[in-house]
Amino acid sequence: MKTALKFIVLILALALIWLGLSKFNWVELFRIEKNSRELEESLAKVYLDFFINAEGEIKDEDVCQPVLKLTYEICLANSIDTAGLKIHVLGGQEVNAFALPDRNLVILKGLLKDCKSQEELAGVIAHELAHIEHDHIMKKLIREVGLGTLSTMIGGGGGEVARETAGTLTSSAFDRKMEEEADLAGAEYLLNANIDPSGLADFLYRMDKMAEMPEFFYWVSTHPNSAERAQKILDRVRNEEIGSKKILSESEWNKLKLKAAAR
Amino acid sequence: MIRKFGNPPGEDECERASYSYLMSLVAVIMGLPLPIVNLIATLIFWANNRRATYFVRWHCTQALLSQLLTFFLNSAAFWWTISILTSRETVSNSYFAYLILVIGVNLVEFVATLHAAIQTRKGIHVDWFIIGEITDLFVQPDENRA
Repeated sequence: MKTALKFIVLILALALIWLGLSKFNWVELFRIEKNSRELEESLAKVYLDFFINAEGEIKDEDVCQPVLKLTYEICLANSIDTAGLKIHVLGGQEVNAFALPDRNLVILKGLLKDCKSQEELAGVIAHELAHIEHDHIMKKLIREVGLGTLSTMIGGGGGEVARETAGTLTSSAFDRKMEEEADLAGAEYLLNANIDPSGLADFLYRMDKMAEMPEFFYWVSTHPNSAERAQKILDRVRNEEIGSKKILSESEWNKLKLKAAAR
Repeated sequence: MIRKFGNPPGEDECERASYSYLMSLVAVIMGLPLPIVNLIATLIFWANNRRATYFVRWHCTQALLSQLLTFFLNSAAFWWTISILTSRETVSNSYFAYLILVIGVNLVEFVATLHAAIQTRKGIHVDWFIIGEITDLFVQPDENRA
């Protein structure tokens, strides 16, 4: 009995010490937020340099403006901070879009060329915004590349490591839970922006059918089980009031498609 | 706490009792990222010595019980860290406070284990706070065993 009492006192003492220690602001003391922000900024620079060198950045207003307009409209409707958001349209022919650290969103020309409607493009953008908002990118990088390798990248020789690890960001999947989270959050963003979320589902269904074709490989490989996920999105929005707002005018969309199709 | 323990243990008993503590120290180095390695090492050593003399059995059990306590603390820290790396969980003041507490407990346990290893090697019985008392509940002197 005496021993049991002593044991309970010991556990209580440990709990009290924990409670007491929790009162200190360790996060600020260890400069966690500042250090992780600096790490993200440095990594984003290394990866962006790598992708821009490899694919080339598109600066054409007719291409960039509609993409920005779609993105900001979704952000505004969902109170997503646009101040730190950076959108890059690159010249790659793969049907792909991906998020990089430090709130960078990369969209490849191949995706713009392939999207059949602005709702599909908005759906992919909303999905990638959800990855950014849910902080999936850094978690994925730390888990798959490791903190040690990431530190090496920002400490010098970044280009080489970026080349080796770029696939982690573009062609290996987020885990199933993160993908589902991004799908459902993306569908929610679209609903709030009065954009029809079935565009994202349509895109996923199409990707599932086209998985064998090399130009479709990238987005499909980063986003597996596309058909199943498309169904989940449709189930999620089934009883919602679905908007049909067109963010881009017909001429803006047509110009975008024309420029994206050009070699 | 140091107390007398019946007849002075023989050289072989001192060595085996001391090894039971050293086992967990060596395993600490191997198993730093995985909290279960230390526990498995002391568990194997305890299983091998459960029919040994009272002095050896007692110290093997104390070493095992001390590892059990830190195992639960370390496991919680390990899985909390994994959840921060893989889910939406983020680092917080509570997380750091817990890590500091766990590191503190492990340091105390490390020093106490080292001290116990040295003392038992000299044939001196070392009885830890609470864990020694719990060990007494599990390990009976040879004359009390059925």
